[in-house]
Amino acid sequence: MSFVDLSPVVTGVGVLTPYGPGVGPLWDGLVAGRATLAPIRSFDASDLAPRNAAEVRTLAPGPDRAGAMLLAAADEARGHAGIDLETVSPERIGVVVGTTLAGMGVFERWLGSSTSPATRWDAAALEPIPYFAPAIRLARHFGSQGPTLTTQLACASGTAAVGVAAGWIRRGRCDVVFAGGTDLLCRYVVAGFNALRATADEAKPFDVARRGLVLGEGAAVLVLEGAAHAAARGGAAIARLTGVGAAGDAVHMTAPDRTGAGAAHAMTVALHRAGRVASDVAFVSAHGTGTPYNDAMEARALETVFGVKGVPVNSIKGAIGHTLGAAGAIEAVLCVEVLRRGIAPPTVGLVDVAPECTTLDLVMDAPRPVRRGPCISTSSGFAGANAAIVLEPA
Amino acid sequence: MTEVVAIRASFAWGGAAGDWPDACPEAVRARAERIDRFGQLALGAVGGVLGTPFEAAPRRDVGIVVGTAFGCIATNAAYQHRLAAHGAGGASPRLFAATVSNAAAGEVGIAYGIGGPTLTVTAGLVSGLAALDVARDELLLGGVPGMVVIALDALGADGERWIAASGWSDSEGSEGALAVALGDVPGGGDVSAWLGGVATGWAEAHEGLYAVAASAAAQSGRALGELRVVTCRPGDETVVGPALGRPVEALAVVGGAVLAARGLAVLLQVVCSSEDAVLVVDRCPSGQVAAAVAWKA
Repeated sequence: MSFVDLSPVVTGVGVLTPYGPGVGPLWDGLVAGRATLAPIRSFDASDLAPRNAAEVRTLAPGPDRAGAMLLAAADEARGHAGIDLETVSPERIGVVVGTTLAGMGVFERWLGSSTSPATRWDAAALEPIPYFAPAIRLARHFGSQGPTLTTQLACASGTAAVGVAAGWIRRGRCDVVFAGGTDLLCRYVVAGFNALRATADEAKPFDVARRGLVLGEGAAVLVLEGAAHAAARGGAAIARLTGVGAAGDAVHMTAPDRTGAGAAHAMTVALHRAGRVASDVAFVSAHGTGTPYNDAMEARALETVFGVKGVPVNSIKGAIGHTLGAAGAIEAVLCVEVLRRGIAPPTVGLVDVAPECTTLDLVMDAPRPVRRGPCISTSSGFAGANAAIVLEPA
Repeated sequence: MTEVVAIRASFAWGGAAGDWPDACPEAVRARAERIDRFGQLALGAVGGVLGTPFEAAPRRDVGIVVGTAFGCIATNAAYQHRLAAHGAGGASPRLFAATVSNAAAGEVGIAYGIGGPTLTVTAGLVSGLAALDVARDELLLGGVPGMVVIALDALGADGERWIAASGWSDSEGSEGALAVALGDVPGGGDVSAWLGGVATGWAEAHEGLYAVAASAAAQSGRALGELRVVTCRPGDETVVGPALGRPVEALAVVGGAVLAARGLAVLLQVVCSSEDAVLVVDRCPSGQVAAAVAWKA
């Protein structure tokens, strides 16, 4: 009997971030410690306060921004994987996308147009609105016919998408899965986070002076395959996805459980499923939004799992903002790059570590070499959502 | 080797805010009165399945998967209207916090003390069966022993207007929820059916429909020809029958289960009334397809 290795591996990655298109600019910007936060230009933000964000300024305007960003990232990922989709049965190609907003920018305009009948909205113009629209657009783009799903776990949506994709590979449902996340910046979401008093003009993860998050936009896609499938077609695995975990806080709808129990449980489950212990982990990409509550919670969660200063930790949200449903996917790509390059980028915006975060071994001021070993990406979100994935060297 | 999963209690609910399932505890009703309709429906349906919240909460051995076609669209619209009418000062923090589709799952987690893996998914109208698929995978991948699956939609007036403008139709209503206890959920009741397989896919013109149905059947260890095939929405039988090369039955759902809940409702309704193993096939105008195989315990 032949053995089929269904272990999920990553064979390609692609992003579109406020640094521009491509993993290269993302990595270069993060390593250089450059922040992309600036006053919003893409819509009228004159009555919004704060009004800084991290915008993607390299994408041509269009009606379906979330879908366009996703396709840009997916095309890079597919090219990076070197995969000829004509050689894969369409029903064996899956798509799973995490998003919190999808076409809410279009919905915002459509709702406003009800008093302006001169604007014509046909079915095609409304197509980008549903939450499942970006995933369908990606499936149509690649001609896939396998499972096509959208994960909605608030700011952990992207991490959840990668986790679902890993499950499809492990269960033999798909040979190839495009897994990622996308979210756009719009007035709707900036006003909402401002109303919650969760925002600031500068994101300073884990810093004593942190006041809130800064929103961003972007997309990321990872190509996941079974190890044997990748090897058989001559594809190169660049990382292995070995563990997935999730948990609900079940405490509050917007604030995290201050004990960090949910986030800690998600990481613990992911490690257990990876067959790893905490001391194996070489690097953690934290959620690190820069809000007082999240960062304090996360410090407790990480201490619970890894002990005091047990593992190098960073956050990239001071550099590219909080990209909501895309964040977990972008941070998964970051972990792949950390595995490949053996370096962790610094936490942009962090100058003076907050007392409640001093239990963390934070990568700050400069990039730091990290040993070759498992990486964890952890995400949390509204409604007590927590998700974590473990990525290991190929 | 087939991998069957137990389907336990299920409950469909679309009642008015002041008219809760008998099993729904008073504390949950009080919480539900304060939240949006999307969350209310989820709490009511889960109340019909679980009744009393877990005491040693949050329980990490039970998870939640919500499948919703259109998520929190009604709450999104309510938030947007205030923002448009009053500018930035009109942005409601309370409404905004509910403009994530996983808000209903969060409310269920808090109200009933469930802290295991929690996910909300959408795959258009087939989201109920898609959620069943995700929950089944979690159980079979060695996650938690039990999952609560909720198929849920609440369109609201703007959502209904948008659906109509999009050329979609679901003539049986605009809101409702159905909850199911899958696997070993404490308090979830006796096994009522066995879930043998679930598969989902996407294909324009539905040429991938046969592959999805065949996958669900294969997971259950049964051939397509052995199964009673039932479709979920008006007119689907004219597409599914030719795609599978055999006659199929169209079912009119009793109880008005709509949108994401319909596929799951049809599955439960047919399975519990049939001596045969059943393959239910659900379709969405977006191209998404889902199929599930189950049989009565």
